Amino acid sequence: MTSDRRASNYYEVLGVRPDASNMDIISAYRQAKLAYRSDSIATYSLFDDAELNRIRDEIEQAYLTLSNPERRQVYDAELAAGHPGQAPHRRPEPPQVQAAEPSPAQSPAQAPDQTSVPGQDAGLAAQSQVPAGIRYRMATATVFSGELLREIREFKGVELAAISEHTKISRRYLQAIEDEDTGRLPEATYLKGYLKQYAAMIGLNPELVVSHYPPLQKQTPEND
Amino acid sequence: MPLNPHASDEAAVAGAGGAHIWALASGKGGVGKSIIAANLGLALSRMGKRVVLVDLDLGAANLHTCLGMANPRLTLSDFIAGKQPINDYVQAVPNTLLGLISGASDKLDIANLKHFQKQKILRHLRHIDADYVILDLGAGTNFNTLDFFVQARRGILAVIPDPTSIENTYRFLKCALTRRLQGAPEQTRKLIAQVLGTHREENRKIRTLAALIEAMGQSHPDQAELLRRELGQQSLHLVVNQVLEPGDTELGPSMAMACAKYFGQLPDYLGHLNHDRQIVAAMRQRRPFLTAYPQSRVAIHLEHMAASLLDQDQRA
Repeated sequence: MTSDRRASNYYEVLGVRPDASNMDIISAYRQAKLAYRSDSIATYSLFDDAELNRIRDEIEQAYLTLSNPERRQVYDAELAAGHPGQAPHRRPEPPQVQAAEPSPAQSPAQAPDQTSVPGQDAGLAAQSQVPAGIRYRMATATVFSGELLREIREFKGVELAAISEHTKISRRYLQAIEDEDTGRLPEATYLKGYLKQYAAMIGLNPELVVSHYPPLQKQTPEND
Repeated sequence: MPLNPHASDEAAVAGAGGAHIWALASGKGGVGKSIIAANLGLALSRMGKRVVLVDLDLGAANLHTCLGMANPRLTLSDFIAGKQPINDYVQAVPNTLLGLISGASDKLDIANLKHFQKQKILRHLRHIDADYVILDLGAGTNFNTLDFFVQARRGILAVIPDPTSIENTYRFLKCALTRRLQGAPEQTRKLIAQVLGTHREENRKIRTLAALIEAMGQSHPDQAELLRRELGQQSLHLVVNQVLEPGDTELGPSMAMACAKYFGQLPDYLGHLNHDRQIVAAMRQRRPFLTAYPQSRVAIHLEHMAASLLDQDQRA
């Protein structure tokens, strides 16, 4: 329970281990709902109402992600890459904790994490912090071009070979995704699947990337 | 009373490293500390451990009554005034394998322990010849109580499903942790006092000890590590006592969860004890509860708690 210390880690929010089973997560969520329900006598004297509401939101958010196997997988990949908790419906929050302490450049949620989820590819976890420029572009991107994807991947220090190794997607297709080489890209259905896995591996939200990848946007009307 | 044949062997091994000290405390009075201390001690001794209970609820000491003893001959007051080693003041509790250092006293000012008297007790506690020394502390957050508590390897907090008791438990935890961290540099101490002490309504960004240590981990990693290590020195446990409604059993896990959020990872939830009239009945019979009603649900839960703590000791 103590291996991971970042503030907004979903596993910590529910008080479960990173390798928790689905059952563990469901019962932890149930326990959390009980503990933080509005008439709970266990919590009101430690936290004020605003804080309690924030915690309740956090719990819902955590459960929404961890209870869904796909979302959880994506989240785990994000964690391993050091960028947890930035689902599309929840934009990165401003740092919350720095008041009395001199403010460091990054919020805890974005801190690089060496101790992260056990069993993850070491190459993925080894990345250091992403410069502010690229982070801003990631957060505000309306188009995930192949160019931008490659840039993000390189900033995160993830090799194409590592992605290929992990996802079993051929290097050729991965390269084509970054080159937006429509001649070598697979059919849209396959492309979406590959793109999702690729996005997850570099800590991006798969759905978001798929819906904003230029070749797919061009293809969709033609295919219908 | 069945005598445990292994008692002396194990004791000889475990006794070498000094006694484990456990402390029972609560924010509010009347939640069953003494009963729990007495019976937890009894359960431990039945598992073959040599246990000495120390009644540090000074000025209101009645652990001896929970154990079915009449007014004890020797007390802590005698130890404070006397020159003999502390082991000379340990009395055998009749019909059990327990030892007791009673806090009962004819001196009416024993509650206001002087600094040197407290120091003398603190110094000698670890020299008590036993595997486990269980301290039964007074309610509330005065410095004497906190200093005894902080010294213990395990702190067990008794709480009942009552808002006043819960509020005071959190308060006690805040006081105990502040006391524990008083060795930290002044700047850090001030921050801790700010976070734990000021009014919640005040608009601060860091509201919890967990968040403070988190933030310090960014700016002063060595300081944060020091705090974590210091907090890790003592295991804290919650026992929910006097459970009446089925829903009350959920209180312990809820409090543990809230504490994890607020303080970091402590304390854990040890278990609950149901409200039971037989506890009072046993006291009236002047018998320890575990002896009088060994088959009751409360007795079984108590034994379970003792076993679970022993198990944690063995893993450590």
